Amino acid sequence: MKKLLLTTLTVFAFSAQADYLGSSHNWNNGSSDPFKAAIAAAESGYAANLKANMAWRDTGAMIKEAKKLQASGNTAGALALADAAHTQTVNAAAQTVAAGSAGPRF
Amino acid sequence: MKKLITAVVSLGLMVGTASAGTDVEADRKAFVGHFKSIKPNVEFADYTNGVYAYDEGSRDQFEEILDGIPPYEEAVEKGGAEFEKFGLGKCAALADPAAARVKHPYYDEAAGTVVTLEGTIRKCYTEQTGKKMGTMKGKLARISAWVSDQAAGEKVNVKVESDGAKAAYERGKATFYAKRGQFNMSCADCHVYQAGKKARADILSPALGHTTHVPMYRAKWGGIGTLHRRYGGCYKNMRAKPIMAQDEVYRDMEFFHQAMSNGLEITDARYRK
Repeated sequence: MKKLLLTTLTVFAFSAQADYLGSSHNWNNGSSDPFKAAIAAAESGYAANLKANMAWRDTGAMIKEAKKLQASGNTAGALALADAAHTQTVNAAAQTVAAGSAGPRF
Repeated sequence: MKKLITAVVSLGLMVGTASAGTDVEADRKAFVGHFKSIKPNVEFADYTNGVYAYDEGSRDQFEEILDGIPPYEEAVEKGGAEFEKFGLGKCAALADPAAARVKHPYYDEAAGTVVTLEGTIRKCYTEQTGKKMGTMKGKLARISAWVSDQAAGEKVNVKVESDGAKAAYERGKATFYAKRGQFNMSCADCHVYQAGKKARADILSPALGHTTHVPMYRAKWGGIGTLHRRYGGCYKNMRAKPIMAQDEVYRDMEFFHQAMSNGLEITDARYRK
């Protein structure tokens, strides 16, 4: 009986929350869409690299190309490219940190 | 993200505080000493010839080109005519072209920034004509080459004296030694540590003396280009995104780069492969 009561209350709580968010809420936003998450990470990383003057040459073009692929329906290709662009931004960020201690080796 | 911002801010603070201990002459001596250690037989004064100080075969070709009519001669003459045509001699900073070349780059205390020869030419051109000028080639490179020709035989003598100048120098130095791009290489990786060695078919030029013959004529370009054009090319080669020519980052790097060649003669032999 207790179990039944708990289950009913839990279901009620979830549905109440869902109603509260309204029909306009995009349930498929953010990390639940792998491409959106990957491209957002790549774009924010690239913006930070540009600000630090440490961006890589091809990252911007890769982001653009990934968006084109996504629009054309090549989801797997788009995701792979967005991830690769994101990886570039992570490496560029690491270079930015290392640049702090850069100096002559003689 | 927070970590990155912290790192960038820390880098700025490190460069800022490092300028308190800046010793340009000690840096220059160590720089020159490094080249002496890798090429003991090359005289300091010969570094004004860049990579041709290292390789006899290339040197012969270089001298043959100079003995004939160098491919940049016409462009430099045109630069002189343009200097007159646009009234650039009316600007106080360019009234004595030879002195202007020797003075630049310098740190402008009032503006709080490094001023390059190209920056002064562009500013003067706008004052005289009301138009804007490019940043890497064409008119700017031709005029800058002609102005530099007037100082041939004079010595590079960059002064880094005030705290502001020292901070700019340190920023430029950090840019020069920082690894960047997909190849994870710094300017120094090629032009200091590996200078004289081969990268594919080309011999890597020594950074010492790089700025004595700028703007340079490059056979690859088929024309004259500024030092910042070359910086952009090197960035691209390392698969890093180039910074705009005449941006503060490159101006600061030029300030450091030129200071390392203090004491070398400015030359009008501006041909490079």
